[in-house]
Amino acid sequence: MVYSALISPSRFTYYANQFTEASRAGLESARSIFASIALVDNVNISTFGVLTDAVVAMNSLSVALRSSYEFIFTNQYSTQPMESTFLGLSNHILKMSNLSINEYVSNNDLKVSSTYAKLSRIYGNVIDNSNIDLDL
Amino acid sequence: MSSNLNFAPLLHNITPERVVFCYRSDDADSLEIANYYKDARDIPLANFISLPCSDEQYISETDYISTIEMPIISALSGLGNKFTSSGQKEIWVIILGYNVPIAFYDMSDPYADPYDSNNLIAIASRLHRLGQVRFNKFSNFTYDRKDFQFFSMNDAENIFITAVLNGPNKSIVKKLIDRSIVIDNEQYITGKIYIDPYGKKSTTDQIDYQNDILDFVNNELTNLGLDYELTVKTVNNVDPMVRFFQHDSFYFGWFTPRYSKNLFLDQSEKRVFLYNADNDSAANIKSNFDVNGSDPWCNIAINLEKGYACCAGNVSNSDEDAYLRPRPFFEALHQGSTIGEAFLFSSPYVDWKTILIGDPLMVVNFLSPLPDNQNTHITTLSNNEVIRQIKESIEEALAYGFRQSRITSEINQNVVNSNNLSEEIYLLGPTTEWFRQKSEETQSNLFLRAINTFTQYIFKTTGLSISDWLIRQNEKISFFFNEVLGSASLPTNFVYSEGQWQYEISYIHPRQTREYIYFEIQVASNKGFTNILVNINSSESIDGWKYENEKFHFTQLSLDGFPSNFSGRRVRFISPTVNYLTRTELYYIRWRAIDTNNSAIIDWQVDSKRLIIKR
Repeated sequence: MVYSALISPSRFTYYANQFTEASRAGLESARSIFASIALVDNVNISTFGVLTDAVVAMNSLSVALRSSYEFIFTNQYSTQPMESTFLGLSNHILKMSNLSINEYVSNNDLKVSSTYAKLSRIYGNVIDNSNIDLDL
Repeated sequence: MSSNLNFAPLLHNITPERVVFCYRSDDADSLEIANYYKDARDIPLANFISLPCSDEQYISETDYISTIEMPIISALSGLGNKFTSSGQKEIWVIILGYNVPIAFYDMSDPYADPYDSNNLIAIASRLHRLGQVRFNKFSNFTYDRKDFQFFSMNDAENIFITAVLNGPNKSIVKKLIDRSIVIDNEQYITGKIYIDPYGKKSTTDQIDYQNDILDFVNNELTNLGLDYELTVKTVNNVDPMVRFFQHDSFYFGWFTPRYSKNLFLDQSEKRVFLYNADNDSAANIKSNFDVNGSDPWCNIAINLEKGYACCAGNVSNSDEDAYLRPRPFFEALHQGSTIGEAFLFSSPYVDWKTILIGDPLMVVNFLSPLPDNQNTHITTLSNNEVIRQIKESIEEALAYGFRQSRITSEINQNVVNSNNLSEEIYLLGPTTEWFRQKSEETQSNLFLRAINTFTQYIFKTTGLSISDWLIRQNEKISFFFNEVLGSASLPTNFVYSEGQWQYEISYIHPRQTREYIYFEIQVASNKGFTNILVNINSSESIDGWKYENEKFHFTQLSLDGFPSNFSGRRVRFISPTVNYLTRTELYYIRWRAIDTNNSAIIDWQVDSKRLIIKR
C-alpha cells in the first residue's frame, strides 16, 4: 500500500549510514590504487635481466596506475548524484515535517557521521557538531 | 675507536670503554696479558678488574661466587653499571684473562656428583647473565634475531658479551690477541670455510642441528664470497670427517671430538674462527698438544703455530640444542658485528656450557657485500614482491569500488521498496542516477587500463603470462580482478574462493625474552567488538596460520607458536572456509599476542582500518 509519511528515525539512520559508506568506499578505492603507484618506484631494478625494457614497462605501469587513480578520484569527486541524494533526503524531511535536517536529527536524538555532515554542508544544510559522531 | 684498526669502519657499537678485562690478582703473567690487551685495544686502565681467584681451570660454585662474580659486580658498579632491573649498563663486554678459571662445578642438583666434569658450568657463559639469578641453560633473547640489530644499550640491560683470553701459556695468549688484530686489519679475509654438517642422527635435537647447518649452507654460505668445502653425507651414517685442512679460514662442524693438529696444513691465509660442537672442545684450554696427537678442537685452534684467532667450544656436555648455530653467527659477522656479538647471537642458551676464546672485539671483513635481503639500507623490493603488492592494492581498490556499487544499488532498491510516496519522490531519481554512475560496469571500466598495463608489466619484466606468474608464485587473483580481465579472464582455479580473506600482523616482540608466541584475531561487525563473528587463536589451531621465515617467504606456523626471535617479521592468517566472510563487506579487526601461559604480551590492537573482504 502506498502512503506518504515522514521517514522513521531508524530509516533515516539507515540512509545516513549507507550514504556515508557509499561515499567512503569511493574514496578508499582511490586511496588503494594510489598506494600502488609508489610501489612501482620501489622495484629493485638490479634484478632485471634487460634493464631498458623493464624500465619502459615500469614507466608504462606507473603512468597507467596514476591515470587510473586520477580517473577514479575524479569519478568519486563528481559528487553531483550523491549530493542530489543527500538533498533529496533533506527535502523529504523538510516537506513532511517542516524541519531542517539538523533539527530532525536533534529532535530524534540521532547522530550522523562527519562524512554525512560534510556532504550536507555542500548544499547548505549545516549539521551541528553536537549531532555528529566522529566514530561513525 | 679501536687502535690498529686500519680498515674496517666501525658498524657495531662496542667501544673500548665498554670492555672490562679481568685478570688474576697477584699474578704477574695474568696482569701482563691484561696490559697487552689494553695496549692492543685501547681499553681504559680503569676497566681492569683484579680477581682474587685460583689459577685452577675449574673451581667450586662457592669460590666462583666469592672470587669472580662478586668482585666483578662490585667493580662494574663502580664503573657505572646498575644491577637493578632495567638498570643502565656502561660496560657491555667482560673478558676473562689469563689464568682465570674457566668453569665451576654446578651445585644446583644436590644429588649430582659435585665434581663430575659433566657438571661444569662455563664461567664466561654464566657471566652473560651477571647480576641475575642463575638459571641453567637460559634462553638467550639475542639469539638469531631475524631482524638484525647490533648489540645495543637496550640489550646491555639484561645480557653481557663475554669471552676468554686464556691458554697454555702467556705467549700463546698474546698470539691470540695478535691474530685478532691482524684479521681486523685485513681488507678482506681469504681462504676456505670448512663445514661438517653431518654427525649424529638419533634424536630430534641432533637432526635439528644437522638441518640448521644445512640451512646455513643453503641460504648463507655462498653470500660470504669465500670458497668452501663440505663433508659428504655417508651412506652408512658413519660420521664424515674433514680429511685435512688447507687454506682454511673458518671451520664449523660437530661430533668427532678429537682431531690431529697434523691435519691442519701450513698456509698463508689467516685462520679466523673454529667451532666443533661436542662436549668438551674447550674443557682443557690450558693444555698444550697431546703427545699422542689427538686433541680437542679448541686446543688445536689455539696452539697451532699458524692458529686460529678465535674459537668456541664446550666445557662439558650441553645437549645438541645448545650448540652454536652457523647461520646467525656468519650473518652477524657479515653485517660487521664483532665476533663477541656474533658468538652471542648464535648461542641458543646462556648460563650454560659454551665459551668464546679469543678477542671478542675482532671484526672480520668479507669481500662480498651483504646480499640485498640482509642489507638494512636497501629498502627496494624484488620485482615479484612489487607485483604481488600491486596486485593486492588493485584488488583492494576494486573491492571498494564494487562495494560502492553494491551499496548504491541497495539504497536504490530500498527506495523502490519503501511504499512511501514522498520518500520515492525525493529519493528515487537521485539514487537511481547515483547507482547508474557507480554500477559494476562503470567500476570495471575505471580499472581496465591499469589492469591491462599491469598484466603487460608482468610479462615484460618476468617473461611470464599472468597465469604462469600466479602458478610460479603460488598466488591467485580476486573475483573482481578476473572480471576486469574480461575476455582474458582466467579459469576459476586461478581465482580465490568467495569470502576468503587474509590478515597480516607485523610483530615486534616487546620483551627481552626468547619464547614462543600465539596470536588471537577477532573480527567483529561493530566497533565495540560486542558482536564477534570470528575468533581465532593460533594456540588452538594452526590452520591458515603462516609466518615469514625468510623475507617475503611464508611458511606454516607450528603448534609450538611463533618464535620471538622472528620479531619484525610478519604473521599471516589466511581464513579457512569456516571463517569466510561476505565479499565487499567491511569488518572491524583486532589482534593480540599471548605467551604460552596465556598472558597477553601485547594486548588487543584494533586495526585503524577496517578489513574489506576483497576476494
